[in-house]
Amino acid sequence: MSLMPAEIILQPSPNAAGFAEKRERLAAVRAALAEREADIAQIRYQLKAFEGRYLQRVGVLYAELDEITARITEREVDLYDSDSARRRAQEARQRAQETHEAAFGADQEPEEFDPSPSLKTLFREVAKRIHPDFASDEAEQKHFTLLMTRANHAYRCGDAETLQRLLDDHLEVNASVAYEGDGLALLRLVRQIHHAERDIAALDREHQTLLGSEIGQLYTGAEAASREGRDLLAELAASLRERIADAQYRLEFVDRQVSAHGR
Amino acid sequence: MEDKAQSGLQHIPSGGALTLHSVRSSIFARGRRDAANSSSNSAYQRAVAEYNAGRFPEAAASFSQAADQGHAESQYILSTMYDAGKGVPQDDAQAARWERTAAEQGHVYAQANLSFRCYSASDFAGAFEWCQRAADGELAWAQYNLGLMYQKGEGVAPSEAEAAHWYRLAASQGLADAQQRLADLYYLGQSIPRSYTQAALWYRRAAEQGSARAQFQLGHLYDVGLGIEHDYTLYRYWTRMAAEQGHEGALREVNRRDYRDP
Repeated sequence: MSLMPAEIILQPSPNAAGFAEKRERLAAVRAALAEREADIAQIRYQLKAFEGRYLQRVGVLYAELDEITARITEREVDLYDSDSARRRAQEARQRAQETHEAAFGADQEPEEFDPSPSLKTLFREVAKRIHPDFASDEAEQKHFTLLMTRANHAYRCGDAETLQRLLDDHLEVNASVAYEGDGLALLRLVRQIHHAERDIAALDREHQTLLGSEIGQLYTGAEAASREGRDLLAELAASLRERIADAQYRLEFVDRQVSAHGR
Repeated sequence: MEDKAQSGLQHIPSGGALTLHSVRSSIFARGRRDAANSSSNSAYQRAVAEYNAGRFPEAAASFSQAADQGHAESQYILSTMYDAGKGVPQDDAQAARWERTAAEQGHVYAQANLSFRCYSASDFAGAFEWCQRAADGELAWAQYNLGLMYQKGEGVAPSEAEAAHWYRLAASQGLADAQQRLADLYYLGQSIPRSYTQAALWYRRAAEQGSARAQFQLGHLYDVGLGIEHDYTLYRYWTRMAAEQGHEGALREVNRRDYRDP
């Protein structure tokens, strides 16, 4: 960047000007990052809650439907044995089990937190470097709080990769600081900006993945329906109850056949 | 134990993370598909109203809109409209395209139609595959057709035992042709154990629905007393019913009987 001589006179040094600019830039990028982080946390929370409502109101009905369907196909084998009758019965039974696990599995997850020793060590290494109490100023403290939240989340999820990246970032930013100097301080800022921008991009990708997932799209659909005054989960549940009634009727029919002229 | 230590090391707590790629993703996918195909889709509702009012070009446009949104029923109806040239210019390629899209979403009528389209193009393997999916979806005439394909060995190795299974499923849903075919297999007793009782039972169901061959066969069973008590009156009744429909064997029998027993 070429600077006019007049500016050189006005400003103490080109480095100081660049430094102030970079500091501002870092503050802006970190503010954007914090906002993204809060958005994502909100979406995660909403999807998790929606997931629970969905499983409770709709998932259990899928489980019921699949159970009846499995029983029907098993009765058909009782009634008339053939390879495809047995294949159908096996597939239906397996599907019923999978659906049952999916619908009721939440109850069986005790959420026991048992991190491996290596994960514990890694977490401690990260935590002692980015703990908000060790921040040099208020802005840094704010940023460290955010990093700490992320580290905690990664630790709870057993996500060693994220922890390792947090550690690497910190080491990279501070590696040169031992030889304090203007140029190196600037380099440090550039690296911090780079990290924040990279994290924003990663959060944007996660945002896309979350909303693009099946549960995310279902959630989006339910939100759109609710703006039209409709309750999507109630609609799904109602149509499933009809299908269950229909399946129940077929089961009773095949039951009567088995008792009338089974093998 | 060695196993235990290993599983302890590899244990990764799932925490409060979302279950995007777990066993649950399929239960979410079903909900999303069913929701996308809900009859409350507004373009679909508009299309149905337009169709019922005889405004076919408008209906086609609305079905097309819902079809683009992934509404399987709309995709299926749109394909039949392209097939018939109703509200849109007749277009086989478009018909086939929407039929396949709906079929791939699990729409059983579209699967059955696609099976027929494959069959017409002598693609028996494709016909069998789609027919099987429609039959798994409880569509009676797809189950019947699958039985026929097993019996004739089209797109699959011939197996009368399999045919009997699919005939039975369709027959249980009340399809007369399937009831008659199933009764035939019981009557012949080549690939499944012969049972005149079962044959009589299924012939009767088909006969009551007006199947001429079943009426004739049921009459015959009454005549010789196989699977049911011999009953001359019912023999005459069912044979005459079949003859009235022009069944050749029944006509011969009635003519012979009228001569012998006016």
